[in-house]
Amino acid sequence: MTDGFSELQVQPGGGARRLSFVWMVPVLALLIAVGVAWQNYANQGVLIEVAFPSANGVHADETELRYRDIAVGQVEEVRFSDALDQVIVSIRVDQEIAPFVDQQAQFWLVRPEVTTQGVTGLDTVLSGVYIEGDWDGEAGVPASQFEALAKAPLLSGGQKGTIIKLSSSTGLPPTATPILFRGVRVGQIGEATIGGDGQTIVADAVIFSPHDQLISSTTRFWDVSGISFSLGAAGATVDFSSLASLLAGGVAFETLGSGGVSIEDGREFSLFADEQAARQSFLIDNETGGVEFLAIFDQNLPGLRVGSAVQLGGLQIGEVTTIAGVTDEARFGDGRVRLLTTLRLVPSRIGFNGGDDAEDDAAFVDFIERRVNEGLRARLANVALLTNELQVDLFLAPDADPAALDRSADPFPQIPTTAPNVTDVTTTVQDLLQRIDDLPVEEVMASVIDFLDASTTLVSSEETQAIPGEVAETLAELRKTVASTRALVESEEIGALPGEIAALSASLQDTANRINAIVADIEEKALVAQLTETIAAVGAAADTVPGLAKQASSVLSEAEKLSLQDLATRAEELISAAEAVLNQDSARALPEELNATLTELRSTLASLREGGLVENANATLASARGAAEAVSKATESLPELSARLNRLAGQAGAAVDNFSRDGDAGRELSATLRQIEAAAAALERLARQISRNPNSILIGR
Amino acid sequence: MTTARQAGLVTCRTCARVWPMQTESCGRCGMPLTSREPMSLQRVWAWWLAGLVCYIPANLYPMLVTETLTSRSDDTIIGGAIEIARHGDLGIALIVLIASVFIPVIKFIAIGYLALSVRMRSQKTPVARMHLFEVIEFIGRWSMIDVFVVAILSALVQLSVVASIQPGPAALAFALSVIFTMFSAKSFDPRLIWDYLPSRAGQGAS
Repeated sequence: MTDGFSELQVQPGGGARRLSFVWMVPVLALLIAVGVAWQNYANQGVLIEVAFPSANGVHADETELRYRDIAVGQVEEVRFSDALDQVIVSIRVDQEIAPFVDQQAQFWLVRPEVTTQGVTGLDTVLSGVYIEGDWDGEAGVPASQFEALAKAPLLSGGQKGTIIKLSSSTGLPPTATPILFRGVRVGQIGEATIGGDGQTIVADAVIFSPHDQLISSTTRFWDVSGISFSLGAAGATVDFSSLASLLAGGVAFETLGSGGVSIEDGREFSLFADEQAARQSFLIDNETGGVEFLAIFDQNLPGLRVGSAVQLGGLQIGEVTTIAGVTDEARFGDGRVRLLTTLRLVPSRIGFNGGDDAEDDAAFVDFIERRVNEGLRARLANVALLTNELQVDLFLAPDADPAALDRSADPFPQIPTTAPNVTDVTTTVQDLLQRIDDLPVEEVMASVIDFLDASTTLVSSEETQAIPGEVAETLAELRKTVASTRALVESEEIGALPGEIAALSASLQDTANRINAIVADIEEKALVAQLTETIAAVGAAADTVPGLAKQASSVLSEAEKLSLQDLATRAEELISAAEAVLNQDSARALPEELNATLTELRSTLASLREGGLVENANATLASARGAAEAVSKATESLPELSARLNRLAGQAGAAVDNFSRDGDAGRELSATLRQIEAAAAALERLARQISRNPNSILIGR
Repeated sequence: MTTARQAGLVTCRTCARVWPMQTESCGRCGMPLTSREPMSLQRVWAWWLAGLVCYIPANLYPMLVTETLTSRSDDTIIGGAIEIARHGDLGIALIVLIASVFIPVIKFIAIGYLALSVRMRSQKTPVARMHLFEVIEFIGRWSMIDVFVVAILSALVQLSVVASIQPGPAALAFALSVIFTMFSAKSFDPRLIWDYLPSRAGQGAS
């Protein structure tokens, strides 16, 4: 630096003559700031205004505008319209999207919604509502004022499909009800509105692409919501399409027949209550080329209406299109009102080439004419037995009066008619009802009620109710008896009885043998002769012998019929009676009680056994044995007795002569001997029986 | 008294050695020697302007972008301070306001005043102006406190979907603004304050 430097430095402003490079910084900053600001402004996007009826949850600087779920703008301002009747939401739409937001653009508010079809807009619970926009991919006439839709449109976010209208006079399923094609969801129904005529309800519906190709002019829609229940000749039918459609409803469709033409957006279809109605409808009103005829019926019966079927041999070939009364005194000869109907017959239903061209129609009329000549007539007939609904029946009446198709009738050819085939069901049913009414139903009912009352009283009386208990008790006692008997029989002491009886019988046998021996001895020693001799001697004494013998004989017979046998028989009877009782079902019904009783019984028997009953029996038997032994002893003294008899015989020898004249005494003696013999034989038989089957005394078998 | 300049001397600002006026670089530490910083005021004004330019977007754009599950909020510096005050944290709000608003504004005013006073060759209260300069230089860095807060919050609160805090465009602008004003203050050569004073005994400048 030079001296001038100091001068220069003294003037600080002098530095300003040269520009510092630092100035680049603020200039650059300024440029960037301006650049950013300009870019911001340029990219600011386009402001559009959408009018909502209410802006629930819409906030300025927060609520987004979305297109296919991507934010493409933001609400800048929310204000009221001038008349305060709407909310105007100003939305800043992104620059690159703005050109597409043209006049066709649609806007609606997305908020959480819970319907039978599910939950939608769940994300908005947390993030708040947003405005969804929908527009196509082509820039159109730009617009900045829009009216928001109340609900999401049926087709949005680039979905393709065909919009149709469904109409019904009774009611349509709720919004968003799915349209199902064989269970597959192919579309849905929009919000229903009242049609322009105030009679029908119309709703837009969409069939999504590519399923919209399924729809043609011959398609029929029907409601599959809920359950249909029908009771008919074929039984009861419960029908529902699927559980899902049962809960959420649904509309099904089917393209019936062929030849349908593809449809444009906005075509209206009727929604039928069920599949049958839909198919029925298709048969008639969908087929082209109906040929109309007149038919005048002599009877003016209620029940025929426009749309009633026209059947040929059970096949529906057409329908009644108009009904009117007609009086023509000049023509019919009286002033009665007749029924003038127009029938529309569909040639294709019976195989004719249905078509619009007149040639085919003429051919069909010719055909009908030929048939009429063969006897084809129209008549009114019941549709069903119990309703008074009528249909027109075309049938061949072989015995009909000759008639012809009246081609000159105005405006259509007239088919001759015949008497109706109408069963007056009402009368028949009334008759039947009258007869039923005449039945003494009430008297019968009264006596039935009396009877029932009496039965109820009887049944509910305490005595009756006590019967089962008493029966049970009786059975229990019986059972007890039988069981104790059995226990007694099966007890060891009783088991020992046969042995004792055998011993007894052996000693009896012994006795018998000895008696036999005595008798033999008597015979051997020719006692008879001696006796014969003696008898004379014993004279008067012998007179008493027959009585004694008789007594002994009777004693022995008594002994033969020993009460043991009787006891056995009675026991047997008792046992079989008890068995019979026990075999009864009612007795079986009480097994538990019986079981309990048996248990009790067992213990009773045990105590009885302890209590000495059996010992008593034993003692009895022992004494019986004692008796037997006494008998045995007695028989042992029989030789002595015979010796005495011998002696007696010897002593009587002299007396025999006295008797020899008297043959009676010999006869009596021999009778006595025979009786003694019989007594011995009886004793022997008894002894044999007892030895063969000792138990028989006890159990009677 | 004489100033170093009147004595024909120049001080090295790095090692404080005094050299004759003509000396171009310090013989001891090798740094270039200038009696007064060349184009000091120019550079002051340039940085000052750059700082001011950056300070405008710093206040207009959001400093902090807070996103939670349900909401998203953009807070500018002043808006954030008001928000904090509304929640009852008056002290914190005050700190934020002082650090982010008062200090930068005072800095702009003070630097502008100092530069202007030198330009106008003011002779008033040189000591006070010197003190003002020292305070400005010391306190200027504290303005960065807001930027640090944003940086720390952004780093800490990153809970993906639930909550996240991100620095807004204002954070960058504010940081630049603070840096530029610091440069501006640094560019000011305080020796200029004293250049136009009438000589007084007992007073001198380095």
